[in-house]
Amino acid sequence: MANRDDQYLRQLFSQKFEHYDVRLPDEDWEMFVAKRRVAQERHRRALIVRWLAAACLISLMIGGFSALFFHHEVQQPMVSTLSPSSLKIAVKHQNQVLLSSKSIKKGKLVLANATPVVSEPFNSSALHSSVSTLQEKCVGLQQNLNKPLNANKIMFPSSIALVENITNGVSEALAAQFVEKITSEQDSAAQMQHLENLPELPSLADQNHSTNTTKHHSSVGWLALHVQGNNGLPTNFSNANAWMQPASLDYRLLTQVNRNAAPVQHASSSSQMITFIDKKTYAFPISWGVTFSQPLLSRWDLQTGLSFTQLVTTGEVTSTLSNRATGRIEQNYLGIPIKIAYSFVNQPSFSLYVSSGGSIEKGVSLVEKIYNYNSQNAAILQDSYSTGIHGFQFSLDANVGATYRLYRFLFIYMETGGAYYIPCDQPESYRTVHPVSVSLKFGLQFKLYHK
Amino acid sequence: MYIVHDEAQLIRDCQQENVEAQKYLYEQYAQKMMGVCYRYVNDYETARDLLHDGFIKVFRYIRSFQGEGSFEGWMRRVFVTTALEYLRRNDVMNEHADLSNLFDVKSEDESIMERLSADELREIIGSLPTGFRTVFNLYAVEGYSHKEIAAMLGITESTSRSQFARAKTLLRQKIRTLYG
Repeated sequence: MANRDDQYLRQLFSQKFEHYDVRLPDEDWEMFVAKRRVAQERHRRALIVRWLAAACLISLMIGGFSALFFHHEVQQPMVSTLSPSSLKIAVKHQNQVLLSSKSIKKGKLVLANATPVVSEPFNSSALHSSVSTLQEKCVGLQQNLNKPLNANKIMFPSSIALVENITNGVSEALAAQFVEKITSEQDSAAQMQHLENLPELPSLADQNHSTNTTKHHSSVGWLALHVQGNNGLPTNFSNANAWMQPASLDYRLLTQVNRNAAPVQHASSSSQMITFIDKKTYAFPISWGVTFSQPLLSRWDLQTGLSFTQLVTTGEVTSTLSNRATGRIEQNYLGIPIKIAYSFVNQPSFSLYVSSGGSIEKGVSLVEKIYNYNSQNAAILQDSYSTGIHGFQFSLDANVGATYRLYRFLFIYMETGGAYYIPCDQPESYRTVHPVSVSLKFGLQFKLYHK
Repeated sequence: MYIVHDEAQLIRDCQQENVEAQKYLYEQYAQKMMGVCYRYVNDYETARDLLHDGFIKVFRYIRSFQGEGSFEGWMRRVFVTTALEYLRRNDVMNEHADLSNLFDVKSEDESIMERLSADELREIIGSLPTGFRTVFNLYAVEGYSHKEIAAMLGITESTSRSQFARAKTLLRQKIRTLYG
């Protein structure tokens, strides 16, 4: 409530200025019209830039999410959409076994409409080995596809069709004959005796083996816990002291408060209010947060998460109760960062990356505390006020970082970069004084897998 | 020649971007709004720039005025906001004065204040440090509460109270020195 003196002043000054006019030059309207024309043009250009920026942001988000969904699709192939490498491997083995069969039949292989490809004879053990390897691979592929297992019935016809495409001359009938032949020969070892003296079949490639085993655990990104500090860049670079603007006052105050923990009184207003004035000091902003990273494409990741930042301002104040007091304002923000990261070095145990993006932060509370000092020079909490913070804080940043594997799924990482806090209608803080800042962030990453 | 019967018609015409109506509105309110701007920046040319910026906003956003409350009050808020934006943009809110020699003032100063004209008072208010001047104008002349001032200026309520208390003391001291 305003006191009597304030009410008197209000009444007096509002009356005095109620009809207060200041004379303007005669041509003022013309000047205004000219100025308005320039402002309208500037406003139109600013609107275009904003629309473009919004379009870019939306495109980036759509592109990111599209890539994300595309990535999930290729991780779950169907029978009819096997990856090219899997098809190639399957076809290669089928082809080799097919050639073996022809050699058995004719002693020497001559494909229809083709020059001799393989002229070496084979022995029976090599053939058995080839066949069993082929079947194992069929089983492996079936397991990957989570389909009912019947290697001979399912895999062979599709593989034969592919063999047909590749070998350019092996008919389906011939291939079917081969299947029959293989089956019968597996049952009759005696029929294979005449082939025993033939040279060894070249060993079949086993490329799928590793795929079959490692595909059970694939990375789906990582989760990280981090701490970040920002040091604002001075507007005047010649002033070296500006780099270290946060002074010891804040820490001194903290020490005093911790030593003399006093009960907090919550007051909304007071006629004996202590006032917060000159010699303000802004402490380094510190953030804590959780980040989740999702791979988009090879080497590209989308990072997002949640962060908590505290901005502390302290200063000497004057008080009606005491000649000496200290004020402390804490602003607490929750933020959501969104970044795109690109790994330019991507080793299993070490990686280097660059990232760029932005964040949106919402102030959740502003707490003001005022401390007096007693005769022992110890700080005593005199008043505490809490209020909300309107609006949002937007920022843009670019960083470079490195990760190092500590243990299997556990990585340590460090990141440094620059951030620009877009000036907006937020309470005075370190960020409003230093909108451009450099940051250092470090934390632990947990690689996430799924079976 | 633009002829208008009442304020509602004038506002409607301005909302339809009738240039004659806009000129009429400008001529009706420019000097009064210049007085508002001048109280905040204490420089005639800067105040004139703010007046123009304020009218650009008035004509741009006049469609949002739905006839609730006084139109003059709405315009005044636009000009006060424009002035505050200027002060914040130019970082003059953090100017401080040496107040070590302040002394308590007595009630006889009030009678001196009552005798002074608006121009004389504006000059004294204009000589206050920017932070004090702004809070004083917002509180004593516009009638905003400290809570509202804190939200408008991005400061705390207690800072607003502090600035006002100091502005008041400094203002009285100046009045006594000049006219006492």
